[in-house]
Amino acid sequence: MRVIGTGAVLAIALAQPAWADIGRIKLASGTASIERDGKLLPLKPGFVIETGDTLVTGARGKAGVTFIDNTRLSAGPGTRMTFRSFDYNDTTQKGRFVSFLRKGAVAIISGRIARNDPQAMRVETPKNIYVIRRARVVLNVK
Amino acid sequence: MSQVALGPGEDGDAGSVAVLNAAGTELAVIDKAGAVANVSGGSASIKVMDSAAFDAKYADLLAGLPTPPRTFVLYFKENSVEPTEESQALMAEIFAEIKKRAGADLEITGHTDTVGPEDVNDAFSLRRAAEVTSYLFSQGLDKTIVRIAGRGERELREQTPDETPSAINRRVEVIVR
Repeated sequence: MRVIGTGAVLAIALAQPAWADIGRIKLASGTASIERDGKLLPLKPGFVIETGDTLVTGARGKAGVTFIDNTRLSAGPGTRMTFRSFDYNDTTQKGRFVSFLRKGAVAIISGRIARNDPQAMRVETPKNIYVIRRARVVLNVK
Repeated sequence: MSQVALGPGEDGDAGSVAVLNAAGTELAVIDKAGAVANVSGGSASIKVMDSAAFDAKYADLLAGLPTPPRTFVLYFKENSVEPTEESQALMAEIFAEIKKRAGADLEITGHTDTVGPEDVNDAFSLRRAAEVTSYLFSQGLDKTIVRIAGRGERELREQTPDETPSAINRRVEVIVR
């Protein structure tokens, strides 16, 4: 490979954390949307998730997301989940990830945020809070 | 009413989940594969099912999980941002992996060995990651799907004392998600 000086500078510029990107949709079927600023956006693979987004699935909807810390999530039908805050440092791989599961069911395989800090990954529900420490879990809210 | 079920971990370790009430007070911790906590506000009741039953019971939901990220490790010549020949050959495999995944994104992360000061290594690891990124861009990689990072000497693949040259530690990891 050649050493490409200007390209390297460009790539470094791209690496700066100005991106709102916290994860991407990998799978979506049935009715599955992101609610953002009061609008419902339909999902397809590659859709970029941002902090504050609410994932909404219909009676036959499903969606799968991989976050930038390698956390993976699968949402089943009738789910409503808001990604309230997501802070992540690419260099230390530490951060904090708080979401709110209003209703429905999700499977989560935790990623680097949970691995590097046992208090950092939280899923809130209307009545309780779950702190996920490096685990593969299913959460249900009725 | 909510419920949490803990499955067998991907690496064999189940990990754990703490259950808190709305005020943040801990009600319970589950740490066995197959454990299920039924929770309502201030109380949690815990049962343990067979860990194999977890996969059967939640088959649909688990099937919807995205494919695990795949990591490609590229190695470099000493004091250089130039990959070894073997590593150059891996580039084609990276593109093939991206094609296989709907909505793929990439993380390109540089690492150094322990030679030199930490801040220099942070910068150098980022530069290595940037070089690989530039190369992949020149080969047609979609610029909107890439994050790059430099981890310096924080994540050694081979544990060494400080100031130790290591070809295994001088690397860039391309993670396809």
